[in-house]
Amino acid sequence: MKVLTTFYLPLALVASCCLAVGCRVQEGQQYDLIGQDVRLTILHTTDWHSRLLPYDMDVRITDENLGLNPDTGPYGGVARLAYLIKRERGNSGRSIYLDSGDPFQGAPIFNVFNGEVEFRAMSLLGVDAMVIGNHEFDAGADNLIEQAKNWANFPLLAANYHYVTPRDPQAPSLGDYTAPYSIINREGLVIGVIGVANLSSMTSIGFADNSLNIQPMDQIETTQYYINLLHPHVNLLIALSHAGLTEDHEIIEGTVGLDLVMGGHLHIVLDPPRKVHDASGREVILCHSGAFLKYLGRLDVILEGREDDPHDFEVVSHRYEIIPIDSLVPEDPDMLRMIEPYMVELRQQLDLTRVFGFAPRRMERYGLNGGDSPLGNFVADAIRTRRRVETDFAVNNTLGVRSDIVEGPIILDQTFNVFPFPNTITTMTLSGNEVQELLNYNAQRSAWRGCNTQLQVSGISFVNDCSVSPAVARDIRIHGEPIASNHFYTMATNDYIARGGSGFNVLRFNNTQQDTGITVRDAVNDAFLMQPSCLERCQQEGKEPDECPVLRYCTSYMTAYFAGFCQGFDPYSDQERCLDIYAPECLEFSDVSDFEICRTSIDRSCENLYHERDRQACYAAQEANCEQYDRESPRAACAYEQLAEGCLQYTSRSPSDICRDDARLNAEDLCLTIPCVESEADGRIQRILPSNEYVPVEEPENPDYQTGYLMEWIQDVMGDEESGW
Amino acid sequence: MTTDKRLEGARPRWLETGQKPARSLGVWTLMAALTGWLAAGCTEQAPELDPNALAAIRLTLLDISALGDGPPYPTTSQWVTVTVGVEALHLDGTLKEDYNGTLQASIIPGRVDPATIFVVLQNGVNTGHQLRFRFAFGEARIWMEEVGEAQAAECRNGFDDDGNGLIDFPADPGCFGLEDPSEGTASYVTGISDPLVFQPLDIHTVQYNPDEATGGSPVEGQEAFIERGSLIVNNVTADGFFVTDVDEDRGHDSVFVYNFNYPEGLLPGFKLSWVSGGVAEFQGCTQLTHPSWEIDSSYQLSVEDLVHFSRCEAVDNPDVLEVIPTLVTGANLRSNAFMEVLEGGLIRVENVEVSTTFMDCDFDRSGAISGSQEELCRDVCQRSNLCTEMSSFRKYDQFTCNASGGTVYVTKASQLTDFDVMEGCEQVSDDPPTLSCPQRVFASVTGSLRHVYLTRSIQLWEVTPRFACDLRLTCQVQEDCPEGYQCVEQICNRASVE
Repeated sequence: MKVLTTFYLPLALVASCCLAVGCRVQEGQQYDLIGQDVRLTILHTTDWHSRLLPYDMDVRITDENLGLNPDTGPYGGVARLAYLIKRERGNSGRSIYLDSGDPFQGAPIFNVFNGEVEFRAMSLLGVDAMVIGNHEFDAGADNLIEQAKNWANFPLLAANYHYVTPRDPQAPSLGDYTAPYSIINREGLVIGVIGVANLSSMTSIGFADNSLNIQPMDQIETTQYYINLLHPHVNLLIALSHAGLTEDHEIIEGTVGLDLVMGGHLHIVLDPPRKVHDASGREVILCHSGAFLKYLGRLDVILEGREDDPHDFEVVSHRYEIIPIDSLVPEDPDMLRMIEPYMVELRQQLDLTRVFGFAPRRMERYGLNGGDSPLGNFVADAIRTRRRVETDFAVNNTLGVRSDIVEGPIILDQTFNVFPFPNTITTMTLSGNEVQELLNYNAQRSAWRGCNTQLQVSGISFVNDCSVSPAVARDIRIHGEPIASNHFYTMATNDYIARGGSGFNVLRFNNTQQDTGITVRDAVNDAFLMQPSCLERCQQEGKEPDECPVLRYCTSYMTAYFAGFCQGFDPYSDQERCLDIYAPECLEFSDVSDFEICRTSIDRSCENLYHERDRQACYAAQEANCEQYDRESPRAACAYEQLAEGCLQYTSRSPSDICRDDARLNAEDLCLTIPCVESEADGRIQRILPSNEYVPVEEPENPDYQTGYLMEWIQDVMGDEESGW
Repeated sequence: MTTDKRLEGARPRWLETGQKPARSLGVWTLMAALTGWLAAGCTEQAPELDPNALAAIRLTLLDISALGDGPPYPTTSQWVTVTVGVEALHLDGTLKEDYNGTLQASIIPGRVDPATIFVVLQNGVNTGHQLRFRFAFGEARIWMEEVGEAQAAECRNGFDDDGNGLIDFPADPGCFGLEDPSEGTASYVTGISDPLVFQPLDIHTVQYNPDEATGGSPVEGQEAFIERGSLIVNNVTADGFFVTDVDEDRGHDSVFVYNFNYPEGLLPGFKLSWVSGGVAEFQGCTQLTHPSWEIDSSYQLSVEDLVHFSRCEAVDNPDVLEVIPTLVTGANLRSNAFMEVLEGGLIRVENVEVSTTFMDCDFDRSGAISGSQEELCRDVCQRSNLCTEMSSFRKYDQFTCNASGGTVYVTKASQLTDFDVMEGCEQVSDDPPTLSCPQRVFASVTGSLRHVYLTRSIQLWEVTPRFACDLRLTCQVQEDCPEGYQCVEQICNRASVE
């Protein structure tokens, strides 16, 4: 009885409330699916990261292999997604649409509207369920509650969050707006969807001062609990997860009863989906469908009832398709209507198209060989050298930089994509021992990820030695000098790492921390502005402006960028409008004279020559050759013939032509003054990978730290029965 | 991280007892609550189904004798034809005799001959459709779907076939693509066959394309679970590993497994119980992505065995399965068809001359070759297989080599620090920056083979050595050898290994 009153009754009440949130039971026609092949289409998105508006990106080969065409940008955009959802629903029988979380954070629209637009869009799309992602808390748990209360008409799931009583009993609880699961009925097929929220990136919920009022629960045990609960009442069980790929594997392998897992968090596409065996050996389908609204995932499954339990359906066959979202996809007008007022206000609040720098080459956030990266170095340098910071060295988490800076104009919109979080710079003092401990932890964490450094640094250099177990940092130098254990050093980092984010506990308890209040984004933007201009870089290299590839590069890119704003300008000139009235047949003729054609072709052919001196000689020779050609265009000749020469007094340049010419002039002027931002990987972080061969045993540098011997490591590994996933 | 005490002891009973759990008191309470909640009227009206509509499709395998002996049937790269019967059914399971239409067939996994993809039903049945397919493996099922009329290519014919005012893909939302046969929507009712159990995939089936010697994998895009054969790791790199099935000697017996990161716990020589991943083509190289694998712990390698491997020495233990490198000549390197057979496997190339010129064509320092001038520079360099363009060298430690008239890319791999490609090189030009290097010849280079694209039109074969001993540098005098090596019989050997 005690068990009944203290456990089952409250749980039943909670469950019935949750059922009330998520259950749609249908009256009327009875569906009998026993003995049939039942088809279900699952549309899946994840990790929108606020990419509600189409954006440009450099399509790399991985995305290209998945179907994103480098020539069909911009990409993403929720209005296009809306079109695809409608289309795919129309091209399906039974269908549901699920999202695996993290629609928040990653573009300026979130910084201004805090997720309102994301939730409104999701409601308009008719998503059947969404699991809470870690970034839903970026603007605070109260904000998430507010957005969910006002705009979410769909179930928000998180089975593994237990909500503790907030200090203020009047304060709303997230538990009032979320549920552990949802039950969806699609024409007789009853589908249970269990939400598995993220724990690995939610550092704050592991602390005593739990500002989110969330108590994390074991993902595997919780999932199994709800599987057991729902199993008698549903035909199909889906885990909608934002736990991460490794955790998804662990959940499947540690439970019995799931049919599908729709995952997210890592921004990957699993095409084909994985088949993972659960604890009973049964296959479970695991899907991940990318991020940033680059793709819509479509999973078609065929279900049959089990022999021993015809009401329990299992997946017997499936087909998966990843649908790219690019400019070939039309935009849904209903979604556009919803989002347009937000776009207007966003433009008013932030001049996102403002150009304040030029990047002659891509600044990548990941180093080529797992070490320092161009953008990582730039950011860390910007943090360290910022006025009022100016520490001995600086560190920044590699994953805190969310995007590369692509070559071309650096606009404000791009910096929000790169640094979406409002993290601030924190300074502190560390002893030499603490610096060693900090970098040892980085080495170990890096070793878990293929020896790719998890920190980017400035003012300090070291080697991540992943050939020993546990991995250690070696040859640590600050401004070229080896660190001394009894010296103290000042360090700058972002407040996320300073609070112990990503497991950097050595920093969490440092009581010398001071938050400068300077955001990392502002520090980096200021660092952009301090870079020399493209002209100055040319002069530093002893080159004249017309001999400078970087300046030409800048002009070319900037011209194209500004010309993009000329869409919508009238493409017809006054002369053309006049001829259209008085001599329309002349419009069929070209308005470019043979002389101009000759001049234009000079540039193209001479451009291919290798040496600058050869190009100049080519220009001179060809220019003289063009004098023989007629300077009157065929259109002008026609106008004279048709007695419409009066039209020739009007300008032959259309507003669009003028706009494009102005674009070029603006670009030429701007490139002389705007910062030309460059950065390189300079080897400040090196790595030692495990070797394929036997190496002599090394004496440990610091006996306080364990260093493994390769042979012991080999023997340990050979004793393992499992590896990889 | 604390655990909710209420969940302690919550275990899946099915695991422990093998029996379906009886409903517990808690579940009865829950059901009571649910009933009460239902009684409160939280329901919605189900959409009415047309009792006359197509509700189900029954698919019967009539003649599968062409599949051969089985199950499991052999996987085949040749076409096989089976006969299937198809029936259109009502909601109540009775035959829908007034159904006259076309269904679309497919096999998953596998590939159906497009000529047999459309299945015409008359009076609700097709009593024997000949379905031709190949590349089926594992547990395969034939799908029969109603996706719309198949005769006309309505989504790319320029007409508004369904009269909704919208023409073709992508304007008409009824078109899911140019290939969609109908602008209208369909029921998407699907029937599948009983399982056809084929043998599981092996590496050879993943690699071998019967239609095109240098073509991609015939099972690209499928999930491969490979446990057939003796799977031996032949190399481990910073982003994955190479595995060879040493049981077979048919060629196409090796594959690269892309792990994105260094695969922990693996060394060359290890045996795997199985390896799985998605089959993908990346720059002309077949690989498994997002992999999983299991080391065969029953296969005992001793420390001495591993030491012998790492010294490129023969192993005494007869139970050890070695991957023997295939000797490749310069003429072989010029034949993509020949080299494709060896992709992912271990090869040895002899008399390999390292580039004597290293040219930097990245004039704008963008990190990539782009623009006509840079491309012209690169093309000039690559006319000679003794010239390496610096951007790929800087990025990937790759350098071009001449192997008896054939060209091979050697990727030194960052772990192999003994041989410094830049040693002895001097800058001889600024425009473009060019280094001239002394002649260095490897008596042999052994490593794992991959196909790479420098550009879409420049394709090369890349060799990645496993150990330092895979690079056998020739020498005339001691000074020709790196530090720690001795010139013995005109080959640089490590001076001491203990």
